[in-house]
Amino acid sequence: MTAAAQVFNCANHAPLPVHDRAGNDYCYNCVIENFQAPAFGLARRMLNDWAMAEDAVQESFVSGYRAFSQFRGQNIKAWIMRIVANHCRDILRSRRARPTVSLDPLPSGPDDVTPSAAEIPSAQESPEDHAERQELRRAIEAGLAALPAEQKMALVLVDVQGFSYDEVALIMDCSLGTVKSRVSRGRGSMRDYLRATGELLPSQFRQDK
Amino acid sequence: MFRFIGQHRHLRIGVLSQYQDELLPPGRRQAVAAALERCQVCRQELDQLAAMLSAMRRLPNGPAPRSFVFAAPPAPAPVARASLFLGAPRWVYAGAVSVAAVLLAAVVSADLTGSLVPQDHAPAMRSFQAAPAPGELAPQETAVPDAGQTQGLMKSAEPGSNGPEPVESPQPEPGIAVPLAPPAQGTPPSSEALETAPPGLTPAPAQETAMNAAAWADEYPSVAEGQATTPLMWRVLEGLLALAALAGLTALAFKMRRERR
Ligand SMILES: [Zn+2]
Ligand SMILES: [Zn+2]
Repeated sequence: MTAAAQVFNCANHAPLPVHDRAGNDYCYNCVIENFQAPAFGLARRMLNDWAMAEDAVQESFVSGYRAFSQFRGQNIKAWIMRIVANHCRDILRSRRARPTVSLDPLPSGPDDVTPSAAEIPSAQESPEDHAERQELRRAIEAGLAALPAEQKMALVLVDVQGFSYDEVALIMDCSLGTVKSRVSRGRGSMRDYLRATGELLPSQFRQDK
Repeated sequence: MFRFIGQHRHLRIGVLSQYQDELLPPGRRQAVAAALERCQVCRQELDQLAAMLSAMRRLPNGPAPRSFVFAAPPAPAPVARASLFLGAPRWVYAGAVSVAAVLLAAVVSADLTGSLVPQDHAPAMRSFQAAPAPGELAPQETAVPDAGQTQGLMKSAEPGSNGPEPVESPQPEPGIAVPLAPPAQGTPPSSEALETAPPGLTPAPAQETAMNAAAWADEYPSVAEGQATTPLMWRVLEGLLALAALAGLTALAFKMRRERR
């Protein structure tokens, strides 16, 4: 393992060496460990289905492993997320082509959103605050689920996962302007959705300041 | 309704959004900041947006439901990621090849049976008009011998001149010989025949030539006109179709070989 791979920690897995196009070495299992959470976070929201998201992420990592020699060695997170994004698009496309395969309808309200494994109250948070936050969180997930796919993808990448606009242009394979407009429209729709469900009121944003 | 307060127009979500993300150019940013200072509605909009974004940023990304690490390296694919050329499903290529092949067969068979040449016989008709009818040729020509015809006579007497050739050339056979012959002559045989026919002296060959020319023009109108544009277009189309079919077959073969591995 050379310099690039040494920053990773192979404690929990067998090293899986791969080389990018620039000649750098990596442990692909370390790449997976680093990016499986955002990969799954994107796939779950794009597909609205945990099992399908799991499969999609697994298949994306297989594709990424096979295509690793094409990676130019710049932004590995964006490169992995791009594969996941493309795979989700393919799945959505085939789902549209065969509507009978679609087993799970879009969540119709906040209660339908699959609970997240990370919904643990933090130490400095009162139970009331926690409940309120959970409510807002569910509302946002439901709002995301109701968005058109491309707006949803842009919003998840920028506002949930914190990617820069430039990275999102890479991941979504579109122009910076397209990312900006998708984010703007997505935020507008999300704000309208939260207002309609009563989740976005002046009393609520004060605590976030 | 009341979106305007004096000169102020409430800031849209797109502008607020970019202001929040610090994507606005400095001048625009200052203008927005000034507007926010003056307008409480816009401030509230921005506050709501900020609250929403902060809540979204706190949404959990994971953890993933399980670890996706590979216990063993996944089977390598020969070519890593489908290129655009080989990205479509197999039936697309098969379909494209079939369509190209069918079209090619149609065009080639139409070409061979001669139904590609225009169905209106306008060029042939013009040839008929240019070449006088056999009955009126002799009297007309003998009655008015002019300079042009004298020239024609002299020309036909010249050795090596291509004048008399159409007169002597036999009825062209359909096939390769015919389309090649007229362009070498430069001018359509009908006018050539008129020019070179010696008035009064040899009316029979002139008549024959005119008829031959007319018949020839009838059979190959566009070539007789000296414009081979229509057949050329079809040739190009045939070539393109053949290329398309070949490209599709190649893509299909590549794809099948890749998928088998
Ligand atoms: Zn490792
Ligand atoms: Zn305003």
